Amino acid sequence: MADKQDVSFKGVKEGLYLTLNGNQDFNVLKELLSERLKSAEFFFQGSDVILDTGDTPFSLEQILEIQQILAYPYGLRLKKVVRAETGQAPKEREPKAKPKRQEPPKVRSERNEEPREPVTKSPVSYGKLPETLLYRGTLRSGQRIAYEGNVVIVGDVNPGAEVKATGDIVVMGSLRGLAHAGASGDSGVAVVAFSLAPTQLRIADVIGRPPEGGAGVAREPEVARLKDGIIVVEPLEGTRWEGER
Amino acid sequence: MSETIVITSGKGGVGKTTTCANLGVALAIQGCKVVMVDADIGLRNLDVVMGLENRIVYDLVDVVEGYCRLRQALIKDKRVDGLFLLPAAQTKDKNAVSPEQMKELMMALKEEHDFVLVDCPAGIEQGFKNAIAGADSAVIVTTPEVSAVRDADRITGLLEASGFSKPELIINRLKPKMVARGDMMDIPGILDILAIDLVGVVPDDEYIVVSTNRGEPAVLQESSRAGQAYRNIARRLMGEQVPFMDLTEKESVWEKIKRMVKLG
Repeated sequence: MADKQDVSFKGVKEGLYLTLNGNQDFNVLKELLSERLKSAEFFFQGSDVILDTGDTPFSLEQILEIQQILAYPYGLRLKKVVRAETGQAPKEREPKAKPKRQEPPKVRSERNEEPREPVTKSPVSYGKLPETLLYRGTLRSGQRIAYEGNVVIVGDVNPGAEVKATGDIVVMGSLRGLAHAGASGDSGVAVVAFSLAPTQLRIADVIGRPPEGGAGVAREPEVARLKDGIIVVEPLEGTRWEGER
Repeated sequence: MSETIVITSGKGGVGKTTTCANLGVALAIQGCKVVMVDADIGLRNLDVVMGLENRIVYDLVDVVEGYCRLRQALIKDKRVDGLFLLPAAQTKDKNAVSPEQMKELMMALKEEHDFVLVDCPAGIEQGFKNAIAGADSAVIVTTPEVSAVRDADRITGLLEASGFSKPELIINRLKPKMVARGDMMDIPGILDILAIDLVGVVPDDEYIVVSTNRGEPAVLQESSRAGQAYRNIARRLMGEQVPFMDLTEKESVWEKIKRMVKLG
């Protein structure tokens, strides 16, 4: 039975405090959450969210799903995940100064570049977030994915949509929007798409755009990588990858 | 003597963005330093109409939030000198900026440009309030339809309430043939309702669709009738006295050409 109490929002200093009743069926929770957001879309838009999962720990996949529901199209940033039985929002964030390379991949917030780390309050660990985010569906104009790690999109990226990843970006469809791979400076990454026709392509800190009056799009999967500081696009077939990544 | 002009309409789809792009290009061709500001945050279009979409790195919200300097976000037009575009953000919404921030931005832009053209979003909510903040004058675009004129009237009222003394009117997409047959509102009829100064009439022109899709403003096309109308409006905005085009007579020539093409 769905209950209004299963999903509750509370305004706190840091943003919105979202409590989900972990004993409820996850699919019901998702639906309830979507409904609540829809009814208050503009009120909530752009806020940071602290997710409290109550007594039951959520799986990583579940947290990522919730993050997607919050982010698109409501623009809510999942800031942290807590398990506070008392219902109190934790006041402090855990220190996050670690060497760059060793850091586990983390979901990035929409605008501010601070990594969003699931901070565990009680001795519950969610472990590492996966290195690669899989997104099923088409990214439409105005939608945006930003992820610390790789991003695979099973669908198209339309003009006006953005994909940003610190690792590689793979689009199993047409990439017509903006893609930024290696967003934190890694120049060894690649952007792969079944049809590579972006409005703009960024790899590390290099920005490329298709030539004026473009020569049409290749009818085969292509890969874009940095070579000597220039973005080079080649057919995916026969591409040789240097070393192991 | 620089001026900030907001191009607004209330109703969507009457040609605000097209008007903004064409006036921007026309003014720049006349030698003015022009910047076009896309205030339609979340539904940006001006960059597409100008064919500059793939050059965007920073946008208006980035400037307002301090992620980049104003100069970094300005995109130089690829065809005309002295023309710049400040694009809107696509992944944000209208609430990302406040009227105060827009006012500040307009002041900064005015310092270095002769004309600042603001492409206003449809509607009368936050986006509209942002767009008119910091503008010195307003140009209202309408089409000869009862609904568009109704909205233009509402906008005129709102603008006057916000201290705009003399909004000017552009009647867009007029079909002289239909007016002659009495099937479309005529110019005196529209002016009767709105009672504001007319700064130009743009005839309906299929080339506009072509130019919008190609990202080449019609002003750049010598033969385009709408382009000619926009060139005239630009000169009027600069303070010149330009007689209004004789739409009816030219229309018949146009029709003749069309007929000849069809026959051939």
